Amino acid sequence: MKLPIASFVIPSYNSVTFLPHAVKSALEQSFKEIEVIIVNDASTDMTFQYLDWLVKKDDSRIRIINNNENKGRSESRNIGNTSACGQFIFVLDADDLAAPNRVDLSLKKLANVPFVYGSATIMDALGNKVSEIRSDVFNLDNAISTKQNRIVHSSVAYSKSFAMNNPYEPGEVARLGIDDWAQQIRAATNGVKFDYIPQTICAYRSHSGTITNSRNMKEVNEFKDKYISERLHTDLVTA
Amino acid sequence: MLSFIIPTYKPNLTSLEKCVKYLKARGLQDWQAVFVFDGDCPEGIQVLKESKDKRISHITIEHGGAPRARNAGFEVSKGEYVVFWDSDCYIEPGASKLWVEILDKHKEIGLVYSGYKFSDNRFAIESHDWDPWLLRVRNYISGCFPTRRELVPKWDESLKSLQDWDFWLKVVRNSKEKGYDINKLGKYLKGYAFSTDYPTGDSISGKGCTDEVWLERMDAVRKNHDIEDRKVCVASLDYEYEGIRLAKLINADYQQFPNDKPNRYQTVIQIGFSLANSKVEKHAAIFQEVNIKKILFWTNENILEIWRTTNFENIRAYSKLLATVKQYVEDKKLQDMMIEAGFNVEIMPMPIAHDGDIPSIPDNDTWAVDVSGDFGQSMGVLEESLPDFKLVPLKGSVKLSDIVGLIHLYPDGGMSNTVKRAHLTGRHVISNIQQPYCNFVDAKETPEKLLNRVVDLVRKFKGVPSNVKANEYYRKELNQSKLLEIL
Repeated sequence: MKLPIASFVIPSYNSVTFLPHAVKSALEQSFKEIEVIIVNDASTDMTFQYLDWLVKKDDSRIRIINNNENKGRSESRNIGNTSACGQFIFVLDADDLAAPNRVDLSLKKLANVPFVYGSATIMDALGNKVSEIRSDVFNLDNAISTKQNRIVHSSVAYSKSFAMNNPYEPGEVARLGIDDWAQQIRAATNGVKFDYIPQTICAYRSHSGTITNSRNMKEVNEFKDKYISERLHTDLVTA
Repeated sequence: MLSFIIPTYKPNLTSLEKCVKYLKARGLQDWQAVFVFDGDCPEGIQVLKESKDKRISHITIEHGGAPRARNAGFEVSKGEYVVFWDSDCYIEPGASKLWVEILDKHKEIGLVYSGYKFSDNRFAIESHDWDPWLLRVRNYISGCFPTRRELVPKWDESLKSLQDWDFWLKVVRNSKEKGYDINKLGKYLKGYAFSTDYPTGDSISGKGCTDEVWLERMDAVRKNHDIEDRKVCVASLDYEYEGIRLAKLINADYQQFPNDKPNRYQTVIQIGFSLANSKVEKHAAIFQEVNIKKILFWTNENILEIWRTTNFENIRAYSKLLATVKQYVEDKKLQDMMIEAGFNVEIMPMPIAHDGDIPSIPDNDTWAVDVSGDFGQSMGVLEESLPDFKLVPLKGSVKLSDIVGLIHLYPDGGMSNTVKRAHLTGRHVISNIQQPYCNFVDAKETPEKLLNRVVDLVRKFKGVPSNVKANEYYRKELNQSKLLEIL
């Protein structure tokens, strides 16, 4: 069997309503040499029923990993990344959608840098566009000083080796939903080059249920300060 | 073999030639046409000769009207299948081939029929799904459709019109005697099987019957078949399914629009009354007769329409006009809404016939969807969220027994008739309406929560058997005794 070039990794916890949308968007890429890895993080909703059906479809591009206990988002991403066979990993959250040309556009940039991201549409629960985030040059100093994350994670793709060298951090980082932000500033600090795709390559679903909206901004910012001063400082020193 | 029996009286030769040309060109090989000249017609015979086709034959009889000509033609015809045709009917491509295929394959089917249209595309006559009960109320099958030779009765030569209605009723009678299941006897193919010249009055088929003699002619056929002249009629422009079921339940006639023809109805029960400008006059016309008892069952959709889109003038005008009509709604909530709008309504859930046994839940993961307003978009999302299920819009062609359940979402809706029907069939129901045995989803929640809840319920109902308790409950609630008392 030929190995895929692009691996979508979709961590999913109790997202039975939107996971099928995400999977469909991954399977409908214009670029065909893909695999789709779903990491079911011990969902307690009816996700298993959908996954059973998916297994029966016997689509060799699909792989399902069932965590036997809830491990959180970071761990789930790492598990998926470890198991990915592709040269490149495409991040996709269960609520979000990949544009059909996402892999095509990303691969062009991934020839030169190990980490790329692009513009994103923001949609509501029903899939209506509510706004958009235009991608721009990544500026580490800004990312650290403003503590903001301008990169929509479901637009991100990176090489397999990047994934192995920059795993997502579990614990507090995962609980607060800043695993992606932490990964980016750590990697950038270590000198990894980023590039961006100006086109819209994903749709990000913004609704009341997601961690991004419900998390406490104050708590997050305090933690980011602490993270920058303690963890990142150590990294910089050891580097 | 399929025999076309074609009575002709003073035929228009151009039409006759076209009729023959179409028969010859339509794909089926094994057929014959027996033209029956109802009185001498050498020009007609000449046209047939010019066709040079051995499958086309003719006889000439002394002038005696179409029914006698048809009987004479049948005597000399040979086909296993017989269709009584007209010399100004032009068959559509493939129709006769399809008829024969169906009759060959399905021995339980005794007749195949469709609608037809007029040659100049002026308009088309639609037919109706097979329903032997409805055939005893009115004829919806043109005489020009095929049946089996063994079922063909004699055409009644004493009838001045409505002979085709009498003919089909006799076909049903014959088939009953021969052991056919009359509920499966007719096969309705949607669409149009032939076109015909617009009747001019002097053609053999064109003699319609005037309003003056209509009732008398109806009576003649009714008498042949012991059909009761019912005094109660259920009428509905928009709710035929419910209308027919209600009519059967209370032994009334059903007519979509009873005013088309003279009648002797003393009570008219209308289901649904839309105040929309494009529809309201026709609804009002159903109640125009002064000296009859009038009953109206408002539907949910009507009431929502009044609240959302109808202008005040219509509401004022028609609440006055409907003052002499006994008006009913399903529940208290709808009553409050209607009283506030100025209508005098009482509560009586519309009775619905039930089928006795509850059909078991099919293994096809199919749910019917009946949603309105903003919920339409949610359904689009749901389809993708439930790729392992099938969601079909609830339309006339969807049978409740073919689905697992019903997703029913209506903004500010009262109790729904559709939901009740689903429960009567033992189906599962997911709805934002709080009514007994519905699986409630709260429409006031965020769209995301609503979607999650619906997805969760649809998935959880996989493999769950019919809802027997709901069926029992609604059978009791929706029985006809109260309505019969009023009648």
